[in-house]
Amino acid sequence: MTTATVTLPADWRDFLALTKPRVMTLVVFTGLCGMLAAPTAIDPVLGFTAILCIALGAGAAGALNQWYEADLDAQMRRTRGRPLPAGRMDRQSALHFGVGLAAFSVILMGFAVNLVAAAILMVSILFYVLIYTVWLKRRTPQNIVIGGAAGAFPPLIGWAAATGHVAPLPLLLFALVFLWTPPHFWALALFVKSDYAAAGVPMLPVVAGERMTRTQIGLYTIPMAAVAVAPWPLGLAGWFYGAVSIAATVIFAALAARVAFRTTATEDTMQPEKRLFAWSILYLFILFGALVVDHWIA
Amino acid sequence: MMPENDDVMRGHIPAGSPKEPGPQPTVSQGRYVPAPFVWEQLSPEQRVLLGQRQRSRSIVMASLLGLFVILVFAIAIAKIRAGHA
Repeated sequence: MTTATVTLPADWRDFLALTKPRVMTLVVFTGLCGMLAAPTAIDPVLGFTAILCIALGAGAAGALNQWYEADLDAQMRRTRGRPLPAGRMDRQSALHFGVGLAAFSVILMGFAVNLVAAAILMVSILFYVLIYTVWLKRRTPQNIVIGGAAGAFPPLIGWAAATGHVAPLPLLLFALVFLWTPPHFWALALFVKSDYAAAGVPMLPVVAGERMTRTQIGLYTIPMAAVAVAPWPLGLAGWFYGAVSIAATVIFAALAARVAFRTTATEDTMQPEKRLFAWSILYLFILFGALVVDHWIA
Repeated sequence: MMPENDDVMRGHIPAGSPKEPGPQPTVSQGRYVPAPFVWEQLSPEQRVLLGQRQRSRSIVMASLLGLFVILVFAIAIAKIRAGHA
């Protein structure tokens, strides 16, 4: 039986879903903290505009990611309800929406805030779409290691929006998010391994096995912990940040060590991996929040 | 042939019947050309849904445009205050 299909214009909520609002929350928060931790105060309207541009840029990158990966998303339980694989939107609309939003966010940032912030925003969108989504994701298990840089740009953008330049502290924040990404994503990949395997995405647990993934989680946690605490001994942050970052990092390291040294049993519910994944998200919120509070105390 | 309610809600509407398949997507000069949208082939409830979607999209677009105009004014004032203009 042959049945043609007519796709109705997508609902506005589907366009919103295309921007990955939950991912955007962390991006906006780290960008805002980068801005608030800067030594120069920015006009509230321009600050709001900068954060709006970061959010729109992240949304554009998410939309273009979903446009390119519609075939993969359709094969994974976690993503098959998204607007494109679920058939609620045609691919061309997603492409136009993503490109339009990306251009709008960069141009608005350039005109309203400054060119340095606009340039970093543009690089972060292009990095996420071209380097991570198009080039790395389907080719190498190191996809999220290198691609993690895309998610590390927001604090740099926030800082550049406030000061017009880049300094050692935002570069450390960039390094922190960059090194945090592998343990965070590989903890997730361990308990949704079958999904990635079914879609043919070469995530580390699928390609190199669970043992190697657990070891890599442990290994990446070491430099991440060093970078997380570094602003304090380097004199870029005060005692409050130092105390909070040490406490939060000790918990992270303990959870990561538990994941690194265990082996999956039969009928395993993967609770340690789920705990590490959940804590890793909270960890980033705590560290960036502590940095802002520390700046206010100082 | 009436579409399933779920299909209607997802906006993915089977059009035509087995005997009369309706418009098909084609590939022309290497480019995907979506099936043409045929109003006559929509059922009454599909037409209502289409109207609702277009209305809600118009409201959202108009609101965003209005907020953008306000933002542009606010940015201009902020820039003038900061001595950039």
